[in-house]
Amino acid sequence: MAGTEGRSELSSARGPIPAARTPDHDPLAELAALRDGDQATFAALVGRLHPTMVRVASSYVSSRAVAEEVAQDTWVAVLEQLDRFEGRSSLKTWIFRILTNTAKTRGVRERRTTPFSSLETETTGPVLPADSFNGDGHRWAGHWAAPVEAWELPEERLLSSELGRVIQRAVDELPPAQRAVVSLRDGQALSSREVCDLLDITEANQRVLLHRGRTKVRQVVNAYVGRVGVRL
Amino acid sequence: MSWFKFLGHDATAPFSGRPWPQPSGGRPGEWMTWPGPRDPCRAGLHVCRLADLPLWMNEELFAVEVDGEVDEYSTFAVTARARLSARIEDWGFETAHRLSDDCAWRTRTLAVETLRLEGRDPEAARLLLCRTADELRLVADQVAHGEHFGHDGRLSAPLAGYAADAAAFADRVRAGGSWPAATATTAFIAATAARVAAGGGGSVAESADRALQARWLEQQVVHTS
Amino acid sequence: MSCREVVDVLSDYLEGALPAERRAALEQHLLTCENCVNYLQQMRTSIALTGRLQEEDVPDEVMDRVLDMFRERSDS
Repeated sequence: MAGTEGRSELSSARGPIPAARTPDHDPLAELAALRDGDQATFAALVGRLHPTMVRVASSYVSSRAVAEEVAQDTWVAVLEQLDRFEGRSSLKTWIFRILTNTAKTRGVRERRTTPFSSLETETTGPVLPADSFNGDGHRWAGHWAAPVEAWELPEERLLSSELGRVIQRAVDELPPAQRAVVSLRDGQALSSREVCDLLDITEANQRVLLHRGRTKVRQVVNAYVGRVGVRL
Repeated sequence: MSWFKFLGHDATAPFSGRPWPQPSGGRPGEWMTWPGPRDPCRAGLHVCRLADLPLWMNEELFAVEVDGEVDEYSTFAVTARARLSARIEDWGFETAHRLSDDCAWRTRTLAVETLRLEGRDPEAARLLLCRTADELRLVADQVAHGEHFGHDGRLSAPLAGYAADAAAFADRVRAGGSWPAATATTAFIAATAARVAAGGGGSVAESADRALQARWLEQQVVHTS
Repeated sequence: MSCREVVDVLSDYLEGALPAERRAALEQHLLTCENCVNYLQQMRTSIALTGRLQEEDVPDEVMDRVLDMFRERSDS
């Protein structure tokens, strides 16, 4: 383990959310503005969703270029069907539903199997390298082999576009099913129920994929923190 | 049944970060009411019994009054209405320091017994001669000769290692700083050492060590008997 | 509970999907392990940072194209 004492203020482990999310907007007002042809509202929506749409589509199709086409086809369909959207789900979930349907169709045409048809390779093996923990013979077997240092990132680093790109690359490099789950859950703040429905996976699979994907993203950030030397 | 609550600084719940209303001027804190259904570890007011105290040690200890049903689990209980009836003033740095020392010296005793059983009498004697936690840490570390269990199933090296660890954390308690976490850790090490020393049926020995810790808290801190 | 187990079930913990007794064991572990407290905080930071994917730039030509489609729809 052991080695290190715990801080008494565990609540600090919850910490502030370090990056400002897009402020919550009124979904009804947004929908009304879109139907009214308000271009700024539409541009903001595209800005918020499009990169994630490409990323999720890329889990189903053969290339980034095809994924980009799928995302743009999705916007065509969204605009065609906007007046028929009944608001039974959020607008965001509805758009991602169109996206995954479009991507699946495209994937079938490309004779690709869906990333969720065989999750075996994405859900086996240890989540961290085995040598992260003491081995069986150690008196603290299964405890951290080396101290885990707190990240001390100054706010300008947290909000830097450099770290933003590090995160983007980390998510892009996840195996397809993990990439889709992490992009939707943590990237777009969809609920686990919504993501299970969209991707047609079980709650248990969703959690395993999310966990593995998150663990890898955290490792990439950890490497970044070590590299930029801001560990205090 | 007596109920208790360990909280962080200023009666702040360690995991939710929510403050509990504190008792003051001899009067209990305000009642806390959980409106929805209780769900252990997620929803509801979490309290503990005397026997659970060693598992949840933190900076401030309170006696708790509950009103209504209590759902009991193996190491905690959940209720919908409770208040902090009084701060238990005898829990603090000084008692934590004594409890952690108690745990460290008990772990030393286990290490000494194991060394003797395995024919390492001179090293057992060296451990017995230690008078301070700092000394125990240094000597036990030498006796442990590394951190691994022997291939022949010998336990004296890891037990000496646990004694060194317990002494190191007892020293951290003494140093002040984050004494609540260091105390909890020393108690955890003592219970772990008891489990390992007992071999196969170790979990009984681990529980027995926790029961000893609870008894210590009862006599030295809570004074219910 | 060991640190390895904590790491294995951390998302279940954060999702509120861990059975009560396991959750209690994990929280008892956190009271004694600064390493796991740091790891948990790193995980929370990393998840929050992933939320910044909503702030990515959309290439100009893509934005222009979809805005053209939007204007066509509004004009029709």
